[in-house]
Amino acid sequence: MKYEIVMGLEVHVELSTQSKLFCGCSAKFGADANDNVCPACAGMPGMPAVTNQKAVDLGIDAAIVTNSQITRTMTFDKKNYFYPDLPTSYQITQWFAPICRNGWVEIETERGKKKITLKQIHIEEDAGKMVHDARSGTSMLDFNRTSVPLIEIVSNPDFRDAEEVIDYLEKLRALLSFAGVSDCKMQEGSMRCDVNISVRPAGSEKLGVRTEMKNMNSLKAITAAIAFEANRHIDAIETGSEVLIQETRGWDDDKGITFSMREKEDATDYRYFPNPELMPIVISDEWIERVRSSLPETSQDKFVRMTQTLGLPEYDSSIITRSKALADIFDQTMAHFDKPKEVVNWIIVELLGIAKGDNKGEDDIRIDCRKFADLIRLVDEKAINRNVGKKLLIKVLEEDVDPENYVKEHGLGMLTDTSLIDKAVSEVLAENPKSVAEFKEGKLKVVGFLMGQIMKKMGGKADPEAVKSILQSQLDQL
Amino acid sequence: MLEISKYESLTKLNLTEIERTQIEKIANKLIVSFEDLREIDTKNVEPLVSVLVLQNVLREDINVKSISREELLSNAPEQYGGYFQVPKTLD
Repeated sequence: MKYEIVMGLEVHVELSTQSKLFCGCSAKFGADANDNVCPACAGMPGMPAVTNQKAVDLGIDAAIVTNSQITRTMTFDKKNYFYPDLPTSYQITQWFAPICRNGWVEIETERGKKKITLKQIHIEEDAGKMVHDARSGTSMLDFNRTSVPLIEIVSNPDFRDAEEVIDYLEKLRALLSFAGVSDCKMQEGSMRCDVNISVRPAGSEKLGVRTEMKNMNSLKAITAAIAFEANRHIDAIETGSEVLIQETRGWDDDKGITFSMREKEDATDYRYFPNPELMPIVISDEWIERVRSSLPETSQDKFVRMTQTLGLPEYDSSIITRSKALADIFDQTMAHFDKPKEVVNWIIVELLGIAKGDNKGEDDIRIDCRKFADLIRLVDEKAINRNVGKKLLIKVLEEDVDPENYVKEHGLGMLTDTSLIDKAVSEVLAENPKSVAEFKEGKLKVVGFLMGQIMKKMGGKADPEAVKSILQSQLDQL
Repeated sequence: MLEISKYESLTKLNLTEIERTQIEKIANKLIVSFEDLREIDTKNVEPLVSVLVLQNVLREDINVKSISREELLSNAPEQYGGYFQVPKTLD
């Protein structure tokens, strides 16, 4: 039988604020345990919560870039559950009047374009971090993350396969990071995704039993978890090997399996009620306009600018605009060297190549864009050849060297003196009679080998085009 | 009728039989009182979040250092290496 997978996503994104949602503690990631905690976010009795305006601004940003309808009077509610990572024993969230509803995000897969509709986006506070210590049999609590502002983006069950999920997450990441809502780093937990999944016979209207999967901290893990869980559901339906229940399941990345965490609570179990300490927030037209007018260029706008105004290929532009970090490098490098195609090539081929080799993500690339621009100019002006440029790029990345000075100090300038090249070519041909003989027999492959020998002899600094043409003419005269 | 056992598990409380009977009695009385409220017509009444007539109480996004970690942990029954320490709790 053919099955259809039905999925809905809950994506949590940490907002890029300085301070927490309801108190002035720093919201920064990576501090020592419990360094950014005050009586309010530690849940001490009598501490008033006061909403961070920037968090609301960023929520409005998120609403705008996801085409959502903004709720004009939004309120905060208490979601009650008892767990040590939440010192108040309730989470402040938005249940009755979230910041916006009914948005959509357009995705594109091999099957074409599709609109993923959003149920709502709400603002809420994050919970603390728990570290379980097996040795002492205790759990250790760090409340630095407690009350850090989040938005949760709740989609409708519009997804039918992992490819759609991944493209949606990439689109969402681009939309939100370009808008400055969040840095959306999955590995640091500033973007987290829960997948609600069920399986039904193709053509059926009725939804199957739904499970929720948590703890996937990369796109790869999400793809693997969906594949595993969908198969588990199908097996259960076909063989009756287990009875599916509505539950929350964790993803074990090492074992490549999902495991039961807890039975899913009903909404009523959370006993939501309005938080009487927090006054309603009325969002006026003026407020929305103020936020809208200060929104930076969206990833989509940038894509259009790159392809239409700058005439760059769609493929290149889509790589640059899927990441705020790469787009920033592109813009800043262009500010110093205005040849878009050259800049894009150096980013995609060289910079990303090096990052990939170092197992680094796009967001982790740190480069002085003025120096990067200088380097590209040196190659473009034929002051150095491309290979020297590649090696120089590593020096710029690792040691922050100044390209022009480095080339001067190390004598890496491109050798274009034809008499020198001519001499090197003659020498290499004399030293490699076997290759020359093979060439005469029609083995054109040896040209590449001879090129390499000549470049080596000239310290890798010769102009490859000049070498190629001189080698060709000397071979032709043989 | 309220299922006290369900709320016991949600709040992670273990009640004695006596406590359970007492709370059950009070809770069911409360429920009956709230049933009376249902008779009031609230069709044209907006839900009320707060009795205060205030809105848009917001603060600027500025960091304010409050108490030190030592002070924060000073009342913790158990602590270790800057963490609060509690009996092992796994979701």
